[in-house]
Order: sequence, then structure tokens, then C-alpha cells
Amino acid sequence: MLVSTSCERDSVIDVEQGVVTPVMTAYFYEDSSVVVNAYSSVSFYSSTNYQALTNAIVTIDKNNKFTQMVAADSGAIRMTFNGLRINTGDTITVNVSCDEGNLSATTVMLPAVDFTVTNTLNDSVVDCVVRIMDSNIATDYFQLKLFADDELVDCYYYDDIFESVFATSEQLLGLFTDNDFNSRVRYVRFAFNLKDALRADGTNATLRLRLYHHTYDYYQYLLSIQGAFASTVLPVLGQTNCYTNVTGGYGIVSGLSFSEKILEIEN
Amino acid sequence: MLNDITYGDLFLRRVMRLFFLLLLSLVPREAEAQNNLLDTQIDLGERYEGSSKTLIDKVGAATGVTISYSNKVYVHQHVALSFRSGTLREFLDAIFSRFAVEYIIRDKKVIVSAMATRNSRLSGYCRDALTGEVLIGANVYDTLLMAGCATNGYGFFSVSLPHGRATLRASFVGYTPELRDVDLNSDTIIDIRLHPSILMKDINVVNSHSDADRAQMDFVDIPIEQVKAMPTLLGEADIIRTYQKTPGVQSGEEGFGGLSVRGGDADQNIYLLDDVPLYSATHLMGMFSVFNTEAVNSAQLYKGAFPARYGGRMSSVFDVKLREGDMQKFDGYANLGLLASTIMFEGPIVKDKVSFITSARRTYFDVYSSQMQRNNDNRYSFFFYDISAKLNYRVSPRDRLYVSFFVGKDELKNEYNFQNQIVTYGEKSSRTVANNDEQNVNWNNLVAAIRWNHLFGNSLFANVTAAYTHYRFNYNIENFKTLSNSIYENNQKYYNGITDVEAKADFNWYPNKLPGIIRFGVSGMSHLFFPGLTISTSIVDGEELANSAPDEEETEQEATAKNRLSRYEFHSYLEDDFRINKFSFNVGVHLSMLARQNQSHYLSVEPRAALSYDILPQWRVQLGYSHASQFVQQLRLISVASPADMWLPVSSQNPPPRARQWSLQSTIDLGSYYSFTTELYYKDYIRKQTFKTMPTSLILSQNEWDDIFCSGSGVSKGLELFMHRKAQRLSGWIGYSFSHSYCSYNEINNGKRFDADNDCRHSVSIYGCYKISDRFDVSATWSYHSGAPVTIPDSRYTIKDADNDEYTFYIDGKRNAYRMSASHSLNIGANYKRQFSNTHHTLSFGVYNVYGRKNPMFTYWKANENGSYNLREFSLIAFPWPYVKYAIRF
Repeated sequence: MLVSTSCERDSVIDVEQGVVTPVMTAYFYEDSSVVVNAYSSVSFYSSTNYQALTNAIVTIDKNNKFTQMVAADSGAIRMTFNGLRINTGDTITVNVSCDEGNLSATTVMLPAVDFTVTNTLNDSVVDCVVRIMDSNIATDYFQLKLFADDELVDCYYYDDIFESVFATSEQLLGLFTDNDFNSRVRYVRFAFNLKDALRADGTNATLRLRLYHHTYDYYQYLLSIQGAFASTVLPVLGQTNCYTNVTGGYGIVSGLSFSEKILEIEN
Repeated sequence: MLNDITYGDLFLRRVMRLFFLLLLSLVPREAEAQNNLLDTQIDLGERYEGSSKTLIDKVGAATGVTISYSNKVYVHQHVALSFRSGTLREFLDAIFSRFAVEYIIRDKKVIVSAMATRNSRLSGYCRDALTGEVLIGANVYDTLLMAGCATNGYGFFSVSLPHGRATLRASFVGYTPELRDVDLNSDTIIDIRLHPSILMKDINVVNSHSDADRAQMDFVDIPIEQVKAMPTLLGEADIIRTYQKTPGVQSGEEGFGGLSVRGGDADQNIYLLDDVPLYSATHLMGMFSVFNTEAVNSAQLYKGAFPARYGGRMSSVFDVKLREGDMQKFDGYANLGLLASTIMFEGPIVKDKVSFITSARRTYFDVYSSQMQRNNDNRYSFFFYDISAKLNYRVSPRDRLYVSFFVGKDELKNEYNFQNQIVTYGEKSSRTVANNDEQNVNWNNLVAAIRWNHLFGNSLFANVTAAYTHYRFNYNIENFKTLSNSIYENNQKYYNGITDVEAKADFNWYPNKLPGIIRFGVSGMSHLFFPGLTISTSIVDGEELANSAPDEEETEQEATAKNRLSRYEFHSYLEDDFRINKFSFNVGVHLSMLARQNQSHYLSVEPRAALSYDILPQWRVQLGYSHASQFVQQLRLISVASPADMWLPVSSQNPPPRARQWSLQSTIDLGSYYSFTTELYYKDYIRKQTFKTMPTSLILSQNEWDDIFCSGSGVSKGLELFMHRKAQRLSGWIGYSFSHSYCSYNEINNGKRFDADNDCRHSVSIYGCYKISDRFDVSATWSYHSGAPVTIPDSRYTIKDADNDEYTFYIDGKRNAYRMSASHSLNIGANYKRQFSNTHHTLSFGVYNVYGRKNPMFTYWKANENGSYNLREFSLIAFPWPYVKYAIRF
């Protein structure tokens, strides 16, 4: 009844242009080139989602030593650092200086965590059990993802260790921490439909199971996406903030490490 | 030698004898002369009726005597003599009959002097003559001495009067006043019964305040019958919505947002149900209150300078007393509306000794929706209910025992099924699943209390209470997925809440040698807070999944025990109500303490004072000051108040907030039916708490909430005008308030001051109810509020994550820098009543939001398909809502 008598209309409030705030995102993979995106926030009345910074200079320090600097050309948002390789254990600091302000973020390249996986085919469902050995007492943040020929597979993460089985955001699926198995072995279970492992022509797709070892910052960022998602569905919930580890602005900078196994379905 | 006594000596002795005889003869003649003065006959020519002052002058002129007296023995009164002639003594006895006096004669002057008087105490209860229900706040006073008091929360009164005949007048709104003569020679307990007024002509029901409550200010008391007559949403009489139409009291749109009193936040109001705190006073997120008007005796709101007996919150006290049940006969009530139905039964278990009353209310949205969505894969349902019950036992004239119980629940359920299949597993019942999600959000209140009233002697009234109150918010998700022949079941359960156990003792002392009432009391409360806990279980084919260390797996009870917080809260108070000449005072102090295990305690000393001065009998000016703090707060998780908001204690990082309020009020009784009140107030806060930013997750654990609070200061000030007409035929009010509330926090808005969330600059409310006949009455309300402050994001940014998915986030602009559109609406209603034998029937109908005003509830940026954005206003009730309701009383 309430839905039937509610309504919306355009508001007459004239919202002033907000302060332009710089934003930065950067993801580091081991032994891969580095890409940094730097841009600014835009007005709600803007027709574009990304606005280039003015006179931006991006610097990357690895292990507290100056490594590389790139000056963004006018209009450039994405900057590639060729010849820069990141290794496990490296601490990376990214700085951006521009007319809109100065940004800085630091992250670390965590080691990949090894695992083993077994699976059982029950009719049309593949039940998987992943064995993980946690080797330290610090809190670690993980995510399990299954890819079939580079396409993300819709898995059923029914183990109670997972952050939220009912996440509306795909990014939240398969997330968990080691809070209940620090320095021990844990078996993590999930399942998927066999049909998702087949290509359109009926042949078997290559199944890659990845165990991501996320930084705390990237984990919190993924959790905050869930809130943003919810508010688009129910505006009354209000906007929740995106987690950021960038000082001077917004965005997320993180190393992304993972270990991978090829999943062979038995029979 | 006789010859030695000369004739001269003899003569002298004779003269001396005569002289003494003469002296002796004069003495009785002098006393006789004085007595004769009082015995002076006076004939006024006709029987006198008029002012006592004029009579004194007449008598003095008739006798040539000056009559002197002090105010201690004189009361200006109307005198009607039954005789026209008599002695001076008889006339003086008639004028000073109420006092023990003696007459001292000096020359031609009569001095009327007070003898040592004896007082006795007259105590008792004031009740409804038909049902035996106590009347709270009824006035009982001696018509000659104008000394009396108002009945307390249990209908009890006690007043000290001199021996002799006292003429008492008892009055209460909606009842015919009663005059009763009482011969008072010793402490006496009486029962006063008032009859409900059935006269249709306007009755003089002036705000005749007695001594005890003249000082009380910032106090709103709307009779329950007036609440029931007001047109409301879907015809559901609602106490909180009625009070929202008085100056200084607002809520969010259609009740969402909680109650705001003089700019205060929703968690700064305490709701007392028979003296027990209730943590959630509304259903459906604020649209309806939990109080069933059929079960309520009285509801009073203290907006600011609340007396010392109240504590625990900073902004207001909403004091609701449930009815006790008819002691004489069985009664029942039932109504059927578009939204809900209510039933109520009451009656004696033992006549005049034990009574009960029970009421229940339930909505039937879920009944409608289940029929309408029968064939849908996605189904929603919602309902709420509340049940109250009370037992009242008059153990003796001095002892009464009450047991009361209240439970209320709201539940919103969503079921989503697709690819329906029939699957059974083990011994459990079959379930239609392939992929079935069931989400259940519910919140519930439970209050249980036992109270004992005892009268010690005739001047000390005690109320001892033991109570339990409990609030829970639950969010349960069950997902059933069938993969092959296995059923995977995942349950996630989140809940937060608070549980209190309380014991308290309150005393009203009516001292014989001091004027007024002294109140004092103590209470202790144990809080258990559950700030938010998520329990997950996974079940495959009916068996719960175990991880690698099942012996270390926490049970739900263990997890609950680990995550809860316990605190102890203690209160004591001392309050004095008294009157000196034209001044009335209510002064007191309230002490609050919060005790925490292994941590420091918090102590708050809260002085309260209210002073009233009668410039004229119809014009009273009041000045008030209150100091209050609170140890519990509510954490809002989304942009509007919701039942998921968590109750939390103050912490070491965030010491208790404190508020001080100064008020100046003028009340004028215009004629017999009108009162006009003007009030200025100023309230300031320190350590007022709020979020630094909205939380990044909707569900927080207890380890996270403490870090996101910050403390600041705030001010709320305003002017309130209120004209109220209380009469039988035409009643209503016009209210206006102008207010400004603002605050500042170092961590918010760059430390700059901003308008508070509850700032409402202008507010107007008009209410009128007219009884056309004894069968038909009509009513209407119109209210207006300035647009609410709102924080609107003024820019956005997009993040492309590692998987190349884009998400857009908003950046908030200045806090509360904008205003939504103003809100106003007109509601009309009518009641038609008929009586058939012993049943009374009422048909109510009306329209809510007559002209379909689209009052904004919130604003948001809507993303269009082409990537552009529009700022939109959402209105919840944007069209007229008619209602009809049928009720029967039997």
C-alpha cells in the first residue's frame, strides 16, 4: 500500500558544484607492469565520469627508494610504468601531485598462499574442498574465485566462513578471513554447476581456481562496495562511503597476489 | 483601750473599706462590660449575603467597634447568613468559622486572634464513578482555603487541613466536578468518584491548577478522548502522532526519523510505560506508535524542564499510564479498520478488589499481500501486533498490587522462489526449493513489571517496582539451494538489542508541618547491550557443516555472551513541590551514575528548578531550569531512523553528553475555556554525539562502533505559542513554534557550525474538533513544517577495480547545507455514534492528506540509463488516503 501511494519528483534544490577532489587507483601484480589511474571527481551534472588532473606528476617508490616518475600528459588518466616489476614483499608508495592536490598511498605485495583442492562430481554439481594452511597469527584476507576460460563462474559459497553468501555485489562473493583458523588448516567448501564448466560447444573449459591473498585495504574496499550497491537499490539507506587508503583524496591502491590451480573435474 | 481609738480612725477605716468595696465592685463590672461588647445586639435588617469583608465593615459600623484580624485567620469568601440579627459574637463566629480563634477586647477594639490549630490529613483516591479507574492529575482542593493537590500517577492525593468542616472540590477534564463536605477531626482516607460528563453544553473546564503542579512547565497533557477523536493515518488513533501536532515536537516525514523534541535527537526521549522504559515506541519505523489508546489511561509529555524524579534522557519524557480495568463490570471493545483491528476486554475478577484489562491489536497487510501475490515468485508480507495486559489488586485500603505486561512485534518477510521443485531429505519435511531465499526482518519489544503501592501512615505514599524490558532487532536470511539431489542450506542471523532489569522505589511524602509534596526515590538498572552479532550456519542435507576444528567452534550462546556489554545505571532524586503566597516552586536534584566493570564510573549531578508566579489568578509566569545527561545512545545505521539502530552505552572515548535548558513561560487563562501559552527556551549541549561519517558497512560489530563516534556541542532555542480550547462541544488548539538548532563537531564540516538534523525553523499546527450532536462529531488537523535540513552529495567519482568493474561513489557536500521542500497536510475525519441497548457503535471515516501534498521524505541522486543524474525527492504518502473504521463497545 505504501509503495502504491509513494511517488518521486525532481527536486528544485540547486546543488552547487563541489570541491574537485583527486582520485587514484592502482593495482600491483607480481612480475607485471604497473598501471596507475589518476583523475578527479566530477559534478553530478557532468557528462563524463573521469576528469583529468591538471599538471599531474605520478611517482612510485619501491621499498622507500625512488623508482619512477611519470608526468601525465594533458588529458591522460591512465599511466603505465614500464620496466617496473613488483616482487613479493615489496612496499610500494604511489604519490600524485597536481593542481587539485596531492595524493599518497602505500601498499605491500603480499605472498601468495598455497592451497590444494579436491572435487567430487555429484550428478550435475561439482563440490569442491579447498585445503588452506595458514602460516601466521596475523589476520589474512582471502577470496576464492573460479574462472572458466577467463570468465568468472557463478559458485555457491555455502561454507559459513564466507563473508556474505547473500551479497548483491559479485565482488563480495568468495571473501573470507582466517579469523577462525589462524596458524591452522582449514577446509573451505563451495560448489558450482557442471554446466558452467562447459563451453557452448560442449567441450570442457579450462577451470582455474584462484585463491587471492588480499591486503586489508582492498578487503575493506570490497566490503564498502556492498554498501554502495545497497543504496542504489534502496536510496533511503543513504550513501555509504567507499573505503580508501589514499590520503589527500579517494581511491584504492593495493597489491593483488594470488595462487592458482587448474581444476580437473573427476570423471 | 477603746478610748485610745479616736472617731477619726474609725472614719478612716470606713472610708478605706468603702474604697475597697468600690474597687471590688468596679472589677466585675469591667469584665462584664467587655463581655457585653461581644454580646452587643446587631440587627442588619435583612439576612446578609455577600463578601465577608463587607460584612466585617457592616458589623463594625453597627457596633462602633474596630475589628482587627490577621490573614492567618481570614479568608475572603462569600458569606450567606441564616440570620439577620444576633450578637457580635455570633456574627464574628460566622465570619471566622473556619479557624480556631479567640476574641481579645481592648477598649472598643476586638482583636481576632488565632488559637493553636490542629490539622489532620485527608488522603485517598480519585476514580471514575462508573469503572473505578483512577484519575491521574485530577484536582482536589478545599474551596475555602484553596489548599489541595493533584492526584499522582496512581490517582492518590493527600492534603493537610485544619480540623472542622472542609468543603472539597474534585475536578478532572471530561468529568462533572464534585463538591463534598468532610468533617475532619482526625486523619481520614476517602474515595472520591467523579462521573463522566454527559452534558452537551460547553462545560467550564478551566485549567484550575492546584498547588502541587502550578510550578510545572514544559508539560503537555492531552486527554485520551481528544487523541481518539483526531483524524489520523488510516483511522488509527495514535498518541505520538497527536503530540507531534503540538509546538516543539516534530518527527521525520510520516513519523520516520523518530520523535524530535526542541531539536533533540530521537534517542534523547524516554518513553515510560507504567514507569518502565520502552526502547522502541513505534511500529513500521515510526508511522504508528505502540500505544493502544484503548488500553491507555493517560499520556503526558515533558518537553524540557522535567522534574527531578525523571532522568536518563536529555530531551523529553513521555509518560504513559495504562488503564487498570473496570472494577465493577465487564466491558469490551473491538474495532475493524482498513489497517488493523483491536480488541479489548476488562472487568472485575473480584468486584471492587481485583480487576484486569487486556488489549490486542494486529494489522493484516500480510493477509492482503498473500492473496495478491499468490502466484508470484517474489512475495512480500508485513504485519505488526501488540498485546498488553494488566492485573490490578486492591489488597487493602493501603496496599495495591499491579502486574503488567506488554509485547509488540513488527515483521517484514520476503520470499523468493524460482525453479520450484519438490525435494525431501531425511526426516525433515519436504520443501519446495530449487533456489529459495527467505529474508525476515523483525523487531520486538517486551515489558513486564510488578508494582506495589503502599500508604505509610497517611502522608507517605510508596511505589515499588520490579521490571524487565527488552528490545531486539533481528535480520535472518535463509537460503535453500538444490544442486543435484543435495539441499544446501545457509542461514545468517544478525541481531542487536538491549535488555534491562530494573528495581526502583518512589515515595511521595505529604509532610504535615511543611507545605506541598516532597518526592524522593532510588532505582538501579542492569543493562545488557547486544551491539550486533552475526551467526552463520551451513547445513547440507540436514547436517550442519563442521570446519576443521569443531571443538573450537563457538556455540551461539557463547558467541552472544562474548559480544554483549553490561552496564549498571543508578538513579536517585529529591524533589520538593511547595507554594509560598503567589509563588510556587518545584526544586530538586537528580543523581545518575553509570558503573562499568573494571573501568571508571560516570556520575552526573542534575539540578532542576521551576518557579511559578501568579501575577493574576488567570496569569501565571514560570521560569525553569533543568540539567540532564544520559548514558545510553542510539547508533543510526542509515539516513533515517530505523529499528536496526543500535542502542549502545557511552564509552571511555565518548563520555556522557549533557544538556541544560532554560525556559520562560507565560500562561493566561482567557475566559472559561481558553488558555494561551507563550514560551521561550534555550538549550545547550556538550559532548553531543554523532557519526564522523556514515559507516561503510550496514552491520557493525562491537569492536567497530566506538571508533566512528565523535563528540561536539549544540544549541537549540526557540519561541512557542500555543492556544488551547478545552471544552465539550468545540475543542482544539493552534500552535506555532519558531526554533533554531545547530551544532558543531571538530571532525565534521571542517569544524564549522551547521544546522542540526532536526532543525525545524517554523512549525504550525491547527486542530479542531466540533461535536455537532451527541452522535456526530467532526475534526480536522492542518500542520506545516519548514523543510528539513539535508546533506546532498555535490560531486561523484568512479572507481574501476581490478576486474574492470566500475562503481560510482558520492562525495557529501556541506553538512545540512540544503533544505527539502516544506511539509504540510490537511486531515479530516468524522465519527458517527449510535447506542443500541447496551452496545455503543461508532463509525469513523475520513481522509488523510486531503489535497495530496507530496511531502518529501528524502532526496537522492538518480542515475539515468544515459549516465546522467537527476536530484529526486521521494514522498511516501503522496495521495489522499481515505479511511473507514467501525468500533463497538459492549
